[in-house]
This record gives sequence, C-alpha cells and structure tokens, in this order.
Amino acid sequence: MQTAVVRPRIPQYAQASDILQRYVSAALTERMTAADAMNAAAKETRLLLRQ
Amino acid sequence: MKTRASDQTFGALLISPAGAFVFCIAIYPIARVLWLSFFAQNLATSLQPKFVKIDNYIRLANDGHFFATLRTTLFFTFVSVVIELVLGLAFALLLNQRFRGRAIARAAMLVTWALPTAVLAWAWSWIFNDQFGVMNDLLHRVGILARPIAWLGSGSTALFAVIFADVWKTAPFVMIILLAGLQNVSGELHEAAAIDGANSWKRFRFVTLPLLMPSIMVALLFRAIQSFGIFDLIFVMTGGGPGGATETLAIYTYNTYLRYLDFGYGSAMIVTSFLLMALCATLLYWPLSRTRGAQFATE
Repeated sequence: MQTAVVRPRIPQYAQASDILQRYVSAALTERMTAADAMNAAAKETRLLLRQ
Repeated sequence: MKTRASDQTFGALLISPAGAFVFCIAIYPIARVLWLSFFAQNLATSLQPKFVKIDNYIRLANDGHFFATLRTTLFFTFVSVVIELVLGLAFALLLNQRFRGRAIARAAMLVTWALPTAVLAWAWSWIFNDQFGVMNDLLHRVGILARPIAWLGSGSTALFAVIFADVWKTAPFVMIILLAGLQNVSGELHEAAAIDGANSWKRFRFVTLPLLMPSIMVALLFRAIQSFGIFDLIFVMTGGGPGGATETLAIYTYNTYLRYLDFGYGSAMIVTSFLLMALCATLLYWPLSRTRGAQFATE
C-alpha cells in the first residue's frame, strides 16, 4: 500500500490510457522502437491534455 | 384547380408520417451532431456544452490516430469489396447455370449472410484463436504451418482475419444482387453472339458484363458504404486491437463518444466521416448514373 499509486484523476484518463496502451503494444510487438513509441505517446497525450 | 390543391394537401397528409419518421431518425440527428461539433462537451467541461468554433476540426486535422484509423478503414473497404465482387460474380455465374440441386445451393449460399454478425464474429475469433483455433489446426495438418500463428495477435494478420470474415459473410450478398442482374440478361443475345462465332469468354466479356454493369455498381455502392462504416464485426473480433491495428473510423468514433465521453470531438469526427462517405458514394454513383440501366438503381 505504501508504494501504491492512484491512477491520475483527470477527465482525459481513459483516452490517455488508450494512447499509452497503443504505443506500448507497438513497442512490444517491435513495430516501433521503445524510444519512438514513448515519444509519440507523449506527443499525442500532450495534444490531448491541451484541449 | 380546386381539386388539385386539395389533392396536394391530401398527398402531403399521406406522406407526413414517413416525413416525420425521416425527420426523427435522420434529419434531426444529423443537424444535432453538426451543431454539437462546434462545441466542447466532455468530462473536462463537466459535460456542459461550451462554444469553441472550429477547434474540434483543428484538433481532428492534427490527430494522427484519426488518420491512422482512416487509412485502416480505406484499406479494409478496398480489399474486402474487391474480393467480394470477384467472388460474388463467380458464385453468381455458377449458380446461374442449370444443375440439379440449384435451389438448395442458392439457399445454402445465403446462410452466411443471414447469420447475425456478432455471432459469426465471435465464431471467427475462435477459428483464428492461436491455441484452439481451427485455422491453425487445418493449416498445420496440411503442412503449410510448422508452428501456430497468433492470428489476432499481430497487426497485419489480424487485419487479414477480419477481412476474411467480412468476405465470408458478405460475398453472398453481392452474389444475390449479381444473380438478379444475370437473370435479366436475355438468352437471345447469347444465342445471337454464339451464332456470330463468339466463344464463351467473349460472350461473357461483351454480352454479360456490360449488361451486368448496373448491378455491379449497385453491389459496389452498397458494400463500399457498409464497409466504410464497419463496426460490429471488428468490434467483436478484435475490439480494434492489437494496438489499434484494426481500429476503424467507426470504432474510434465509438470510443470517443462512449468511452471518453467527448461528445463535441466525437461529433466533429462523425461529421467528417459522413462527408467523406458522401464524397465516396458520389464518386461511385457518378459512373452508375451514366450507365444505361440507371433506372435499375433508382427503382
């Protein structure tokens, strides 16, 4: 319990989670390199949070 | 003149139920979605509409995932419709021949089309299952596959699997339209062509195919529109996965609307795909209206 972290309590959580899932999957199946996938995920999430 | 005016009133009265129906299920929702697409209405605005001008469309133009799903949708539509047309035409030509048990064969062909999509999608997802699937077992037994493939586990094979299932379901629909078209091709023309020395390929190419063109265009239009809006089959088989590889426009829109609760942005998405679909339909309909049997389509 001491190390548990609550999921972000923001309205866009479901969307942000989907974006991350998509790119983690892309990295795991080696369709993208890990760095590329994380950069793309970060870019898309930022775009989302700016709304 | 007096009777004519009252005739018109009576006519308007008669079509008013149908008019009200169209208003409720088509005109009002389209207008509402168009209106909503200029508002931000999502969890961040506590689901209260806030006027944002064309921000939703600007966001859409910068949304890489939207274009990725658009590409997937176009690829799915193109490949599945082409295969369906070729297979449907082949089956229609075959079932137009006289042979014993033709009625049973025609009825049997239609069974796959009559099945509920959600049910058959579930069946196909088991057929393509990596450990227990029939597809892997079959290919393994005939020696094509050395090791089982996780069909729905990687992007390209998952897309192949959903196209396969869609073709399996809807090729019979194309077949039934083309079969109806083939029955309008008069036997006398074939006879005349045969007397003039045309072999069977030439009779098909220069007699059957031109006369069948209006039916082909109708089938193409129906299938292209339905494929462009494909939701049920893919949603049940893969849910848009793996990693969004089979996510079509309809599934992304569904997610935006009903999972992210982003109604304004989802509406902008619907309006855009509606316009794209209307454009595609017009481009397809244009040659159709120029073919000789144009009445056939509008009847």
